[in-house]
Amino acid sequence: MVINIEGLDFAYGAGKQTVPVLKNINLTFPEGQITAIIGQTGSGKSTLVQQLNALLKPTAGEVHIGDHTVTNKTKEKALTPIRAEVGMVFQFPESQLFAPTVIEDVMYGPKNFGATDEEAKQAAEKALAKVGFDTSLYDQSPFNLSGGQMRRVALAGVLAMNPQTMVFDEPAAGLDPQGQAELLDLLRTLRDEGKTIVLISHQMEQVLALANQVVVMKDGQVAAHEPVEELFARPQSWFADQHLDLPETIAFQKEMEKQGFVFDHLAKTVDDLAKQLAGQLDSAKLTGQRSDQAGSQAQTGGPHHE
Amino acid sequence: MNNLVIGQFVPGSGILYRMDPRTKILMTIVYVFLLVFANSWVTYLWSAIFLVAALLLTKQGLGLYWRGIKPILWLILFTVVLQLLFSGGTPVLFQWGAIKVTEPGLINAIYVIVRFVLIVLMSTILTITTPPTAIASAIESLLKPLKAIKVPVAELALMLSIALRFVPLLMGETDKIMKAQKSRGMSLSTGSLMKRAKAVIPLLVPLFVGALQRALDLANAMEVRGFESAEGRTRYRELSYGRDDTLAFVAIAVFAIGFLALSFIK
Repeated sequence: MVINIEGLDFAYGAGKQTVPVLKNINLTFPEGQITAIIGQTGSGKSTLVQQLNALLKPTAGEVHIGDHTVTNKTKEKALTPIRAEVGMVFQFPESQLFAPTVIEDVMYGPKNFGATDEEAKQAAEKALAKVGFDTSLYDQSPFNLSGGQMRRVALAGVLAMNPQTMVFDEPAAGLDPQGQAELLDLLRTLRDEGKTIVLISHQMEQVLALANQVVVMKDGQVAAHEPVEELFARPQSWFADQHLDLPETIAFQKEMEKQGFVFDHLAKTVDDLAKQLAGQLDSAKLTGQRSDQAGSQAQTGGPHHE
Repeated sequence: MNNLVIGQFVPGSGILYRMDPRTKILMTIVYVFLLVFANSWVTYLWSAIFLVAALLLTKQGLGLYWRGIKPILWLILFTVVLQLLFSGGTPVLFQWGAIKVTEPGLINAIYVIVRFVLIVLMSTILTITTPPTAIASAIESLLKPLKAIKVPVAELALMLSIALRFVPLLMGETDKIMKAQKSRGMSLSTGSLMKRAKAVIPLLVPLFVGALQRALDLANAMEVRGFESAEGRTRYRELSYGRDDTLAFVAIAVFAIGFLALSFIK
């Protein structure tokens, strides 16, 4: 399912007291890819993603979500089916838990979209298994769980509806490192299943590791929209202008380039970076013979690792 | 949700913004109190003129006030229907089976609408021009005499200002949870009444859990900053009585005298 935004403007409020937030947005979210949205707080990221499942309707312009078109005039009733197709995981989604037991909470979504109790239960169990939730806790109250477990239940609550597209608003915020790693794995799995994923994140490492393409928001406008490799190839000063950081590996790479090193591609992981660096250093250096020219030598001919 | 105007402060300028909040509260109380005794067209007209003058002094668009009235329209309609149907008296204007509309009923209904709207608009003017914290400290100041009979005025005022402080927070929270549950297919506008009432549970439970958690956090935050008693705390903004307040008292006095005179004319 492709989501396509055409000429979208959005303002909060009505009448005289409107606050314009989004201005002239044109974007396409390709099927089966992970699109990351980055930008300062207040740049309009969350407002933008709320257009994707029609929680907000555009003030002007159109949003095409699969076969649905949402404009300013679309009736509220026509919007509900869209939410079955585009799942939305809000920031700190554990605050939406309400049911007496974990399993009931996860069943809530499927049941709203017409599943029978039996179907909903199956969907819920499948979703809970996917987020690695312990089977023995299904009948626990969600309010007795740890923060990390609550997050899993909330995620499962959206997964259980089996939406074609999923939107995540800073899903890893407040998770421990292991929880974050597991979450990233989950996003990859979902992508590999062919789901379209939209991810808001402040962690550039996450964006680098996951995203196919990146949308950079600034003051309610799209400042950049391109493949992740192209984006991070931009100069450091551009990122400073957007008040964004570079991922650590790439920041390091760029510093090394200033010292005369030349890399053939952006390092996505520490491992990748280490391999590329090793390729740059000549064997003489590695055997311990100090070479005074090594630093200033622009080495391009070293063995290339992938 | 954010369309709720009652209880909302809207920044602006003018005499109503400069006035001491105590003055504004007293004026509102006097106005509402008098309005209860309004008994004729002229008294309502006089009250309406006073209100319109106050409205204009806030320099806010009329659309804002219309949005303030809108959420309570159904309440007004409900009272009006009750008045129309159960007032009794003669002459009967309209009858259909057991349903009977009489002239006193109709007049009462119109009075009720006008009274409702005037009271709501006057309180809206108070809250639109006065930040919640100012209202809280004004109430504390006005209740001070009660200290003599051991009423914990400072604590009450602090509780009130915390409660007011929580209103926009809870509204934001409600909006967020509503959106999350809507994303999971919640619909509050379809199905039978029973079904709709049930549909609110996924909204209310997280809201209460969140509010209690926030209350705990706030209590801890206050304790670690050395909170012991609300008594004897100093203020960032001291209340002060000025020329504008004298003017206001003169205005409300003129209104009250006029009102009483008109109600005796009858």
